[in-house]
Amino acid sequence: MITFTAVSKSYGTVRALSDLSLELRRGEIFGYIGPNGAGKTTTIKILTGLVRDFRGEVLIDGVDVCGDRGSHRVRGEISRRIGYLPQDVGFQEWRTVEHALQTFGLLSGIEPSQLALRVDAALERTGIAEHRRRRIVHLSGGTVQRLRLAQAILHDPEILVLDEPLSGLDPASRVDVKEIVRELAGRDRLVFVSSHILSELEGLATRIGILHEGRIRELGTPAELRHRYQVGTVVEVTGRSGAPLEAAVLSGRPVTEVEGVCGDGPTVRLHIDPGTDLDEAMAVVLRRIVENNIPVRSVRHLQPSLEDVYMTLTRGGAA
Amino acid sequence: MILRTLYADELRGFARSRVMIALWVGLPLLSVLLKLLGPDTEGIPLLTFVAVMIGSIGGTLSAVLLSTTITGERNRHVYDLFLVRPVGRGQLLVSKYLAAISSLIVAAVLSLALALAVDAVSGVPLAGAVPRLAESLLVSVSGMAIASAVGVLFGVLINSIAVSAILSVYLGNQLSAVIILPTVLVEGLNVTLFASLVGTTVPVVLLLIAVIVFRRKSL
Repeated sequence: MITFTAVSKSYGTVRALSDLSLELRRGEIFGYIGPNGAGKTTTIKILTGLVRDFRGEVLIDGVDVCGDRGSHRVRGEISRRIGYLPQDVGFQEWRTVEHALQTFGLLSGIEPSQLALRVDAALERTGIAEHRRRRIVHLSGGTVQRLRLAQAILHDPEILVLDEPLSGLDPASRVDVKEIVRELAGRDRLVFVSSHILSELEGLATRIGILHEGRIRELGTPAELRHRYQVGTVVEVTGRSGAPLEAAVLSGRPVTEVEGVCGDGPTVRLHIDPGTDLDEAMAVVLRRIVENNIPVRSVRHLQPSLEDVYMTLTRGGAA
Repeated sequence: MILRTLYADELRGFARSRVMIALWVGLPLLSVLLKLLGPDTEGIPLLTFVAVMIGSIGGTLSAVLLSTTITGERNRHVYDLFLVRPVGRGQLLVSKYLAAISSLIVAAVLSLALALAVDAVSGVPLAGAVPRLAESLLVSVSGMAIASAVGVLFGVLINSIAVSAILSVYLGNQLSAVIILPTVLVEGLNVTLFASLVGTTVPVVLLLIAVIVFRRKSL
């Protein structure tokens, strides 16, 4: 649906993107992860046509986003298909929520006869209908972020591009926004969502691209990335307070590494070989605890995280 | 369609942020008050004086309004949400410019009408007042058109709101005088032709430069 081919962009001597090639498919939620300054917003601005002076090619279903040198016709075509939630975008002080949506709806090409219905639907969907007549300057940061999302989904776009959509939101709002994103992707839309916090997108993104210093460093489904970087199962064993934890006896297949952890009591984390079944591994660990009569307070399975992959890559651990 | 939507939107913005009321009430009152308080303007009909005043004050106000608004909105990335839609950067600037000029024309008409009324009450002969009113209006609007275009250009060029405002006050005012002073000082000048010519060509050139610069700017 969207293809980036060898896209590069520099600001003066600073290289924001280097030879970025990427293919995005309909129906997926693509998580675009990278630390601040990695080039995420530049990628998004190129995709939405806000930055046009770049090298390479970006196609949306075969249409070049800079075709005819970014002509009115091409931009009209692209803008109808994309809903964009920018990071830190402002609104004019005098606008009310409803008025902002009416203006952006008209500019998006929504028929005046349909406008009121679309505005109502976007307000309801994002949960800000009660604020419709309030001036935007008087709204909380979370409500403004919901308004940004409302203007992005107003014209029911095929592609939703969200730049750090969860920043500044309270936990309830995060759940709501994630729900909206899942619902859109379920309707065969493409959702492109960026974040500098990987954990924000765990459980949401169906595919993840990790960007660092202007280059895609990893690309794959969350499960693929965990497997590739052996971010496998971890079992945490906490011993009884005051009693030494003889962790060495817990090592050996399928445990690949025994890691000490600072905590209230003696605690170790056992990294399990990613190829091993969790139930089988737990059985082995428990058997060793019993056979060696180790005094334990708890044994628990830690949810594996992609954060480790991310940290490894963005700290220069990747090739 | 897009330009019409943007223009209507800007007018609504001026109305909601009370810019229009400040112009439509403030400018006529200020012009008359300055005439009444100014000892050096003895002998000059109020209509002429007001034409000069609103061309100068109105133009400066408009230049400051446009330059600070555009600079501020650029800094806060307000335009991103417009430009991801089929809106051109030129359309954004032109709609703002036209909305400001429209508001100023209404303010100028109100100011000159008030001046005419005061002249009539003061016993100034009204014969030939209407052609004089039209000519005064043309001179004022031309001056304001130039100053407003300067404001748009500074709004695009300058990143600091304070600097944008200061330069608009300096140059917006001075450039308004370019068109107003010859019409007052030069004997036998065809005021209508001069004001029409300068009042259209200079703003068009300045706006073109502003649009070209804005298109090259990164957002």
